[in-house]
Amino acid sequence: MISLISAEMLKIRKRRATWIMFGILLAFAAFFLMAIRPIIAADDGKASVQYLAANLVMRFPMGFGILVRLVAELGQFILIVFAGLVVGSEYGWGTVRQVMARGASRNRYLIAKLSAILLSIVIGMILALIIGGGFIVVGDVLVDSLDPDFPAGFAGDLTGDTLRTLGVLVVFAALAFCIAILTRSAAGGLGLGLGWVFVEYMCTGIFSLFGGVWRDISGYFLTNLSNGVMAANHLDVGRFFGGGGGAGEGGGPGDGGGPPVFDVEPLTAGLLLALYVVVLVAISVWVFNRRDITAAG
Amino acid sequence: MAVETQTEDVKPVLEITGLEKRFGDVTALAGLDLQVFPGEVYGLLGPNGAGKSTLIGAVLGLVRPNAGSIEVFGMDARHHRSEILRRTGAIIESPAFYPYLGGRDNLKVVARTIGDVPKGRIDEMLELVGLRGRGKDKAKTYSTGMKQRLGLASVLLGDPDLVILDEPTSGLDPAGAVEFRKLIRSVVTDQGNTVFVSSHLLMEVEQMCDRVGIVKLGETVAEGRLEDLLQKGSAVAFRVDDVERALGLMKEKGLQAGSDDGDGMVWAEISQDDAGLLNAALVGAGVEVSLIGERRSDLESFFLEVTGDREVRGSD
Repeated sequence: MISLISAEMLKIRKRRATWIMFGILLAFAAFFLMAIRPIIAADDGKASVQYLAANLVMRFPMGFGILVRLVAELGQFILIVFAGLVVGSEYGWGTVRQVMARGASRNRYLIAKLSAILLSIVIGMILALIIGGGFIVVGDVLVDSLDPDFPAGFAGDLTGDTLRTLGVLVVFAALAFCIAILTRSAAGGLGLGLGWVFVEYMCTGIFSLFGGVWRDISGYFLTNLSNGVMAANHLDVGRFFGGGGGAGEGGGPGDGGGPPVFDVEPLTAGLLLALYVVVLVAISVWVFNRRDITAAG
Repeated sequence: MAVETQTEDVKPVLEITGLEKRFGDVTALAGLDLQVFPGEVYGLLGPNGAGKSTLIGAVLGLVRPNAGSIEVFGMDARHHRSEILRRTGAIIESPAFYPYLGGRDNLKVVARTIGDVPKGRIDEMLELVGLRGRGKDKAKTYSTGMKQRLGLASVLLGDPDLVILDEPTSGLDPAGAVEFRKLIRSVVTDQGNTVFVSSHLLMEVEQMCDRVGIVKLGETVAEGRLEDLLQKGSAVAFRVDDVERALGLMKEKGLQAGSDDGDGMVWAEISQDDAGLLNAALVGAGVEVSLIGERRSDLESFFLEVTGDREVRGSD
């Protein structure tokens, strides 16, 4: 199994698309954490409200809250594309048949694939924190405000926030993983995966207008459950502006501001997301095991 | 069906009995039987759509048969898939690679998938197929011939006892095809592997294979050693002055007989030992015989005879 996972990691590591997607994430992080701060400082002066707010949430180390939120928000889309490509391309190139013909069992192949995706998410998250941390420091230096002040429990908060973000990202990877297997194509995996998310956003907006049970239903969408989980993050930007983040600090879910947060507690949301992952992976395994692997995939 | 079994007490490497596979309403395999013995190059010959790739898919566990049995190395393929595939190397339809990886990295992926591939084996295989100098180049830059050779390297990487190649020279130019066939033959000669090749190219099978199975619409219609199959279709030919009379006499005697257009030649499916007797009978009936010779069948005529299919290619 280890060698199968290492084969999958080799494929992911050597693929240019992997680094392009990671580069896009870093580019956004660099923009928000490094480029914006000097602009704010230059335009409004260091006494402006915007500068003070930016200095509060974007400085080292509190800027990790923005970084984690950015990884969660943008990472959802990036991971749908990533997982869709990793799984779906094997059908397009016909390599899935060759792998199966070399004796890998179907279950072991899927487990190796999923493990490699999970491992890539973890590595990507760690790299994003390290490189993004560098961006925050550079942003501080650029506006002469590098004065690290670690609040009590910062390491624990950052660890918890990171783990919650990872959990959220895994669901979107599992979604694209499942759709790519069902459609036997990369385009299907990433296209329908992204489509799913957009449809959820649209339905959330429409259902909110109806209110009542409709609004409750939309609370169980993947995107909204993810927001429910992320609401428990301690370093989230929302807490500084009285938003929905920071459940642990008394913010509580459903108190408005930021992305819509529904009446699902973070723990319940997390369990429901875990259930989503289990169902999506189970469907993938069941379908992959039942199907013939023919020329069409 | 003209199926010949090997008389020696050798256990087949691959034995397929009554294999059936349906895709919806389409029957791809309809009770197919065949046997492949150790150390031989076995050619599965059939027109496009005869079920060759489906059969290979079933052997490799990619396609689940509806009925019948597949035994590889004496093990039931349904229950011992991993053990069987550890000793088998295969290319299905065309070799597939990760286009963004180099040839060497593609082989690394294969080596990690198989597991237990000795260090240095990748270089050895690249050398064998003549790609040592192009190992770092991305697979997407390879020509069709190079991809086929890389495919063979990937198949041989795990030192398999059974090599399965589906249409191995498909897409190759004539020179590339000849070179590739030589390479496959050398695999058997040098490394002692058993090779199972599927092809719709008669010439390819005739040149490469020791034994042949012919499939039509998912059924084996003939199987045996190439010489034996061709011998079956062999006949003795006579040049005569009266073709109609000669044919009438042969048919009266219950012989399978025919004539070749316009050259006064008639033939009958008899052994050469019986040629003298038939000659005497023809002469006795007043037919003048000016020439007697062997009329050997070729694989193309035999193939057309057993499949009744004229849409085949004699060469690539």
